Amino acid sequence: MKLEKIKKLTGGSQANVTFVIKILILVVCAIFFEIATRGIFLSSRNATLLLRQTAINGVLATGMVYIIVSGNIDLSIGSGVAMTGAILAVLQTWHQWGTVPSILVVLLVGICIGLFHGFWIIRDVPAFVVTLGTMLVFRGLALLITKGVSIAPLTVTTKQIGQGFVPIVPSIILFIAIFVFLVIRWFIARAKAKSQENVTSKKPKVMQLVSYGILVVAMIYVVSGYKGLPIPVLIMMGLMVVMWFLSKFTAFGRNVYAVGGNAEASRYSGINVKRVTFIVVLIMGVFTSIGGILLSARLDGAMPAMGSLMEMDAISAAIIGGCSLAGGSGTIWGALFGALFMAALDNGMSLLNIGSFMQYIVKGLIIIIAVYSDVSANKRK
Amino acid sequence: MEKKEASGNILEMRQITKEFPGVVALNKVDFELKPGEIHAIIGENGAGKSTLMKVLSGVYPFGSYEGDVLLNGETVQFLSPRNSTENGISIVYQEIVIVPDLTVGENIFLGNMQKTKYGTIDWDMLYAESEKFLQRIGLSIDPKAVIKTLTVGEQQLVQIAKAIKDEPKILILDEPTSSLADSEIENLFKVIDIFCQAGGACIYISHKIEEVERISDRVTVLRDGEKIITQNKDETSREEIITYIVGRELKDMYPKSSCDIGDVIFSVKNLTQRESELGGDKKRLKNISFDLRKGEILGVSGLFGSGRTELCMGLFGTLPEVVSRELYIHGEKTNIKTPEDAVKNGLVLLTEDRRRYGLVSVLSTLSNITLASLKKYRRKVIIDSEKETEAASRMVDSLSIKVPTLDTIVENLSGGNQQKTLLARWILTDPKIFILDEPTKGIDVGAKVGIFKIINSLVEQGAGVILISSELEELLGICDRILVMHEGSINGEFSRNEFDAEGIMHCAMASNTDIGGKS
Repeated sequence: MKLEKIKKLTGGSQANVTFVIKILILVVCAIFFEIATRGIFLSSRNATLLLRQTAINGVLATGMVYIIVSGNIDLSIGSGVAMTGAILAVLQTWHQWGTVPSILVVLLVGICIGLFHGFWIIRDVPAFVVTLGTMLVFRGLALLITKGVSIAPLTVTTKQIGQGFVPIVPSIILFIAIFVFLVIRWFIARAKAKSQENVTSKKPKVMQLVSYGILVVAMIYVVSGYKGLPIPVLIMMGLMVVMWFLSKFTAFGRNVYAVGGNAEASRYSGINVKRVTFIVVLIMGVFTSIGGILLSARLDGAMPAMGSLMEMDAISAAIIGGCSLAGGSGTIWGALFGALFMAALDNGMSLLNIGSFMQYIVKGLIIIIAVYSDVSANKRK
Repeated sequence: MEKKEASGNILEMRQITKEFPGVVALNKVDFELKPGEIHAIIGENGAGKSTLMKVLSGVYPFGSYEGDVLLNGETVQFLSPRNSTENGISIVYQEIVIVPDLTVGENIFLGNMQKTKYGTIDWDMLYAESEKFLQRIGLSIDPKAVIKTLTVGEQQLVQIAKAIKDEPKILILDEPTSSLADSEIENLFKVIDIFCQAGGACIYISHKIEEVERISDRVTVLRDGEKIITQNKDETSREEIITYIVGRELKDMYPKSSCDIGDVIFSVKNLTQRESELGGDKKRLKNISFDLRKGEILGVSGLFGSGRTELCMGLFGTLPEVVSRELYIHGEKTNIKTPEDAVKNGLVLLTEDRRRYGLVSVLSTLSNITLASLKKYRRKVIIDSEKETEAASRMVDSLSIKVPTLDTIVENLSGGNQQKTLLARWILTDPKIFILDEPTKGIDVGAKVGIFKIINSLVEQGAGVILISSELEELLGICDRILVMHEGSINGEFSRNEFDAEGIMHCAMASNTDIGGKS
């Protein structure tokens, strides 16, 4: 009966219900950490740092959502991040390149990663195998490029990309603007739903408006209490909005879901499955290089071992957020939630001085439980 | 209608009702089985035969159906196939489900290996026992032969041997002869006889009347999920059974509308697929040429494996190893290499395998309907969701697709509504040529009529339809012209005024009346 209530509040679908339950779990965790750390966890400062921690994984998970939804996987991300980060550092530190050209080159490398993956994947080599191979290749290249040593520092501007902040006032204005936009959108959707009630069941709920409000107030609290909005978080938000928009409002985005849901049926419907897959893989390549830029910018340098296991974090974020490895379902916002959840666990446990050994164990179990809850919810339906 | 049996039934199923979303698969079906009897269940595809057996064997667990199952007079509630096996019910499916890399003996004793006193497998004993057992049921198969080296028919027999090894009380055979040669069928009947003489009861599911006539003691006819009649074989005739199986007036089923047939809009010339290198494969296409006219419904008949589906794929650009092929749409030569090309040129294919090649089952009905026509609703790159929703709901209305909302996941619709969803997907791309491969397969009668009405409205609006079906009745009812395929080539052509069921069947089965000839 409790489930029924949540169902009503969220507009009915089972996916929404599980998502709300997950958010409630996150809230419970946050409250637990808040109490256990005696008010440190949810302080503006810690929350800001937590968001910054989320950013890189958030970017990678966004690309990963597309990859998983389309029925593929990418295991090379960690190595790809190391390689692209290393190229950035080598160009800037050893060859004194400026910020803009070096970043452009790294993005180009990202495109090349995508092209290389795509080349094999559309020739029916499983993405798992291709990226398992490049996981080794890219790590090797990272070691080769850096000659196995750490490289620092980067240019001041690059460092700002990883460590800088949008000042407090513009940050607040940004979030107010987002809120206004969401509210307007909500009212338009409501008006539309009223005018054609018989066609769709999508009638925006008041609950939605309330949650927008809570979210924006929380973000304003976070950015106003410390130094503002971290630039990596801004970049993550921008990329997420773009990718969400693609998935929701373009034929390409819709085709990604169709291809992942049933590639053969999509092909028989006249969709060029290989082209869709290729573009998805290309996007992931670029996102990998963005991850590399953000990581080396935050570290203000590069070391050949960095980024290891980042692909696992990205995959975990995506599946905690509801992506099905079978393909065809998953959302960007789910992945954002997943990334936040993982970062919150990391951060909270670190604050409580729980060792990294324990953190691995907890995170691992959380992933399994999260997927189990999705699977069993689907069965119930 | 039903004779009241005093008692002595080993199995009784009472008032079994099983519903799937939107379809009543079984409606208050009664069924009973006596010890030592061979009781055949006969009916068309989709009549509910397999569903009834799945209820009995626990594949559909207790609680998912209504009605009672009584074994030896006691109610049983099977929650899984395991429960039914423990109660002496053994079922052999059409598909081969034995381990291909093990020997006959190993398969027969799988899960119950003969052991020596040291706990290792006693191979001598195992093969000796297997041999004795196989002989007893009249099979001469080497127990040491590896399964995959046997013919499909022998594999099927081994599977049945394995099923009766533990001496079940009830043996269920689901279309056991579909992969058997004639001599193997004789063997099978011998095995069944031996089994029943020892007191076992057998439920024999088939749609082949001759077999049922030969082997069964009683026959139950199912049609559209309802039990029509149960009769002793001696008290009935083949004709009577057929009437019970079909049992409906053709006129009501096939609403043929009159529609003017226009110019040729589509021509196929010399569609040929390379002969398989293995040689044994007869499904290859040979020199297929035909025309389709505007407003025409062109039927394609032929036996399973005659190349009908390959023909569809060949036209749609998904058939491998096409050696020669020329396609003309409105007299213009058109190159179709992929489904993408086909759709662009107004040629669409509704595939036979809805689940595999049609539905994206995890997505909503809306997404499924607009999947092929998304680009039409774009303003620049952005999809105008209002336009999209409007187009989809127009389809839902005009094809009367029964769906709660457009957001309903398509998987939850009934077979008929799923099929209409796929038809809607194609209609929205405004095609000129529809190829429909078994469009009524696996959907219930009411929905079938709906599909035929849609097909009629397509040709009324000036499209041409190529309709492939294995139900001849259907083709005779609705087509303007029928092509008959046999072993990869077109073996005959019948226009509506010369339709003749026997002639068409003859043409589909025999190659001596060749028109195309062999290459």
